[in-house]
Amino acid sequence: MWGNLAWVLWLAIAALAPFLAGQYLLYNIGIVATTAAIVSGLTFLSGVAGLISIAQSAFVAIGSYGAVLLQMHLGIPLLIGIPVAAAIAGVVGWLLGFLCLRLDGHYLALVTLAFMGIVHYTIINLDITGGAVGLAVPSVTLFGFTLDSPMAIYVMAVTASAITLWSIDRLIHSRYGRMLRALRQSDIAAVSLGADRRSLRTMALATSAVAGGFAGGFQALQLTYLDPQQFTIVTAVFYIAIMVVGGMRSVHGAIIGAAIFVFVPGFLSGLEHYMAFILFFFVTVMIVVMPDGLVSIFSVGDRLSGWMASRHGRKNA
Amino acid sequence: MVTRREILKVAGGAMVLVATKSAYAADATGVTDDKIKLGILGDLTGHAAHWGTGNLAGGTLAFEEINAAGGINGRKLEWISVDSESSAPKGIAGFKRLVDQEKVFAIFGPTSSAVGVPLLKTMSSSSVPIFIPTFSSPLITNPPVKNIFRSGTLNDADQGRIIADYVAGISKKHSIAIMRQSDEYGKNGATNVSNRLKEIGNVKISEEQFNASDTDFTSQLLRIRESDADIMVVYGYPAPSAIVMRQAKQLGLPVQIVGSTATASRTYAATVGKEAVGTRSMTTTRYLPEGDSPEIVKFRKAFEARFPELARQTRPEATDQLAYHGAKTLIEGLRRAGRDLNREGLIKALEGLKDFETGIAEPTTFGPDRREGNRSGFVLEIKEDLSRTVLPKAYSAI
Amino acid sequence: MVSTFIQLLLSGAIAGSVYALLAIGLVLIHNGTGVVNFGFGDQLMVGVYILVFAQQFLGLALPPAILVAVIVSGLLGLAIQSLVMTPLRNRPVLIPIVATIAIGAALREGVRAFMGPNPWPVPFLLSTSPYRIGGISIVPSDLAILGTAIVIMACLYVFFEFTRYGQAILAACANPTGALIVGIPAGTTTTGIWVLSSMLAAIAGIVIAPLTTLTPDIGLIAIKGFAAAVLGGFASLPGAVVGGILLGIIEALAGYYISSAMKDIVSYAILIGVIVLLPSGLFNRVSVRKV
Repeated sequence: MWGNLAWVLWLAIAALAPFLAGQYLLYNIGIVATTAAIVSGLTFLSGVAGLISIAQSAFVAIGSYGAVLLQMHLGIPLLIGIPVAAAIAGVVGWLLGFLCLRLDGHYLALVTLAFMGIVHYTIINLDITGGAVGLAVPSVTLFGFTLDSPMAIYVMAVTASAITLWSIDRLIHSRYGRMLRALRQSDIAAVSLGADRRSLRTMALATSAVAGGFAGGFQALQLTYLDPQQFTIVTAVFYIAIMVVGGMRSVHGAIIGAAIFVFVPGFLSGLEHYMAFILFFFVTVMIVVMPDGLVSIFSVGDRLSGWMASRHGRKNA
Repeated sequence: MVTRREILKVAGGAMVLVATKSAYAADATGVTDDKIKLGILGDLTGHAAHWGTGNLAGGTLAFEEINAAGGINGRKLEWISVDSESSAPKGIAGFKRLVDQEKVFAIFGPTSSAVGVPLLKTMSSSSVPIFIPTFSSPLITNPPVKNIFRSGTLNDADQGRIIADYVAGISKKHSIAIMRQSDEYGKNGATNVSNRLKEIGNVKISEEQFNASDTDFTSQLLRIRESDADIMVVYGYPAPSAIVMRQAKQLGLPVQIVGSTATASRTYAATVGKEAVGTRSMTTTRYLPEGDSPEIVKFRKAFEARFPELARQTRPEATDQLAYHGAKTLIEGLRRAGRDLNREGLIKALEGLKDFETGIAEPTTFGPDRREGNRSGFVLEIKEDLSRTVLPKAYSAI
Repeated sequence: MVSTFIQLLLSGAIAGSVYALLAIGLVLIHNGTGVVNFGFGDQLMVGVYILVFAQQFLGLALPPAILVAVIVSGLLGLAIQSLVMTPLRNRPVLIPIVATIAIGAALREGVRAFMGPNPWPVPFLLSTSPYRIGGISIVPSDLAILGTAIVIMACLYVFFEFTRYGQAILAACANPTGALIVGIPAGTTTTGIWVLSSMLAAIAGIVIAPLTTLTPDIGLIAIKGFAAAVLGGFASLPGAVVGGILLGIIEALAGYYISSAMKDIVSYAILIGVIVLLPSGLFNRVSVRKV
């Protein structure tokens, strides 16, 4: 119930913002949308499938750079290039999943960390990616119109994010998602129920990569520039923090987390130098006090009604 | 008698004039009867924070001083500071906030290439005057953009050229080794130096690279030792450069070491240790923040009084100094633009600055096609007691 | 030639002992509590800043300042363990990982705000003047790093093998329930490990920071520590030291004989290669799989 209400809320905000919000707020809402979409891929991988990944910004990089390079060197329009680059990211994710089949926990974290480092290193050292300077993102052209007004970019970014978020949400609640959840809780039990551990793992990583690459490509349109500093271990960790603070199990957590990390620093800016410190201190407190993320506030209602129902001897339907 | 023709000519001329008046013309956003609103955009947190905090401190000091002296043409300055968090996306958001939400008249900053270069497209398609006192990417002023100005600091292309001129002049064996960082800063810097060296001719160049986070440079230094280079240019951030210089001495490299402006900070020599003696660095101005020229002393005392918590971190540093100099230059532009203040007027006034002196950094010259205020550099040397002295000769990149 | 090779071995070993010191702390916490402390590098950084603060603003001489730094660092570790890690101990492993990352970032930004973003000079404990022997430069302050790594490893070895408390910790790590039965409270051993590794972080930092220049960001050096720990198998403390020194030497040799661009790739490639190619049976702890 809460979930459906949440969708209505997000859609309302997204639709009304162009009319009610100034340019600055509109831009930030758009960034929240694409960031949430990127993180939702991670939510699927880590929150649902239980696989740690410190590589999400590597997939964002493949999607963004891929799309821009396809346009610059092969003339493929961005709106087509982004899905293509996202697919490439998916393939890379699949391969990474294959490489890490037998790994868990900290070892998986370290391998994804190293993968992230290699991708970053590659971007900085290749001339084609602009090296450490980066690349300017070309404008989107459609039927002769150049779509680079803030409004046009907002519409494209939010639409792409909505598609991504909705798809991941559907996947989480599908049979596929249920199998992954089972896998997270216990390898052995899940396999005994018919899950193919190998393909589930690789597909989970591929899915998170596609989401990251796709949403990342559209975020590149908003940022208008690809700077290698955006694709580092630090940013990958940032996505993980968003996921954890907002709530690891659902895309709504990704949305809430993204909103916090985009808007709260603005409120804290009066504290200047100490702003970043306070933000991370807040994140730490959040993790301790609410390990299931902010979104777990809403499940209090469910848990409460479940508890009450069980007290009265009725099963919670 | 005035003919119809003449009237038409005048009328036509007037219409053309009106038609070509730019979008900036009467744009006085952020200016009220008694206030001018400025935005300060800089990295106050994150890894580029030492530039942004300097930008804020130096700027604040200058703006407060001019307000205390009565303001500019009857208006006082007010400003709002936004943290770009050493990140391009945050910088873009911060810029939009200052321009769209806070509606500032002009912007002081941004403070790092990591933020400024990605912002270039956005900045140049807006009409807000941008005044940059610190970061050094050449892309910002070349090609010149109407509303983006830079003062005080030396851009990396000019710096590379000047380093090359300097080392070619002092090298006896005509063999130069360049030890550069593997990122944009080091790569670009080294390319600028070696390109100019090739232009000068009759010079052998060898190059080694390192990562900003490395802690051991023996491999590279041994290779340089085996070459016949008698000069080693070190182009990297302060932390790795310090280790490079120290290890070079410990391994007995027979080279004169010349560092980039990154190694020209007050505390640099102390972080290297006694191995810094005799090393040289490029610097953007003849005035050392710890020096004793009258303007510098005045600035330093005012800075230490205003920011005691920074003073105990051995500041003012070069970034504070350049920001203060930049702010005073911007204030001069605002003053010359007159009481009838608008964005076009400020830009025109800044363009008119020629050899404008503050006594804090090198004089600023702009022009209709020039947005780079300073194109000269100096060489400083570390003395026996680890104090610094600036060699008298000025080097110009023009 | 030969002297070049030996110089590279020596310098590589020194750089490697930096990694080894980091790896020791990481392996200690991992084996003792099951968590990889991604904030270890930042704890190291804080330890050195405490030293600087004690010297410059409290006016202490070097030896008492070092003592203050180590003790305060230990107390910080105690705070982290009791306030953050203990409440999270039953959560999926991702959550403590993120918590340590967030703590590390908070420490980094807090220090940057309080002490300033500029580099800070730190005194060397030994001389930086080299001894030249047969064309090779040997620097005492560098040897201090190598020496510290070896001494710490030796002390820890003695502690774990020959003292009751050390044995108790090993027992609690291997079998928490069994340890509880014989009267070893799991809580205190976890606390002990955190305090110990936090103090180690400070000691490591004090030896390393003069070499690398102190800034709020030097904690990021910890990534090399991970690579070293993995190379050494993440299973034992001597393994961590060997792994670190080996990594340093490989980097130095690759940097000279192949190219300087190769150095960074080396540690990432080793990290991936070792983890992926070694059988998963290299885990030190037997984890009971719940069905």
